[in-house]
Amino acid sequence: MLMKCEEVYHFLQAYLDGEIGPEEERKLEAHVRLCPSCKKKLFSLQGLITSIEDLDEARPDEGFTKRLIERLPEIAEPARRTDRGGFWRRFLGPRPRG
Amino acid sequence: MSPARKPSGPSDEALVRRSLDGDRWAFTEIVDRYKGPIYNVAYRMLRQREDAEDVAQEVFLHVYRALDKFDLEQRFSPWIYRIASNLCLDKLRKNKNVTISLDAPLAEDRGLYRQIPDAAEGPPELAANAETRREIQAAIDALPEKYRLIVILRHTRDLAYEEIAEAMDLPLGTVKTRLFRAREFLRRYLEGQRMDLED
Repeated sequence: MLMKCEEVYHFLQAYLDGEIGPEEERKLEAHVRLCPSCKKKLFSLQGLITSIEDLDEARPDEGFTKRLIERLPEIAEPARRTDRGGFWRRFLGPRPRG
Repeated sequence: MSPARKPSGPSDEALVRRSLDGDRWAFTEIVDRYKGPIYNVAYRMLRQREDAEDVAQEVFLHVYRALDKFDLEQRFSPWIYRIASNLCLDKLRKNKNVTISLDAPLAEDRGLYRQIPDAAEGPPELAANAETRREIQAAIDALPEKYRLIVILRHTRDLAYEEIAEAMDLPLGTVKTRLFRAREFLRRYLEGQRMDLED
């Protein structure tokens, strides 16, 4: 039996996320083939998702990791570390004075 | 894409274990693996590069401090996104208490587009793409925070419903409802309609 439009909406959204079972998927596709209104909604949501996924990645400034590592010796070592932070000091070299 | 899904190299959880065992390279590798994704979530939520950098740094400092509390039987990715989600929402709460210049978001928008070719000087289709991106971004910015975060985790980080539920400490049903409502909001917003979402 074909799904009704109200039922379809929930499945249609989950379908777009790949979070739908094969049986619902089959029923949904059967409905959408015959229902211009749900087909339009599907394409419109798909277009929206693609546009969001296509947004540019904002990248952290160069030196993010270095700045972070410089702050690590100031805080407590994570538990169960076998050495006491000598690595970070060696990694950074001698601490600047002042 | 969630870094945890990349097949190459040791798993995130193996890196945590190695960090705890004193492997000096392992924590740096965690930072390198996640700094882009975490910064991106922070930037999309906060829309200010400086705030995003501060929060992203705080996320890793928090991870470093709390590494021994991480349950090695669980996956690392939802855990770090949970820390990031909490810190972003905290920062937004704090920012609400300060007066915001109306010019600031526009200035920051120009900062984002610094990273892509200057659309105005390129071919018309590039300008159209830039315009579309601006509209999409404006629509996302118009979402209430708890909806916006779900959209960001789902569509810029490719987290599954269950991973978002873990990251935001929400029931699965709530994640789905909010995501579906948020997308409906965005779809209508881009068509010039408005839809109320409870804050």
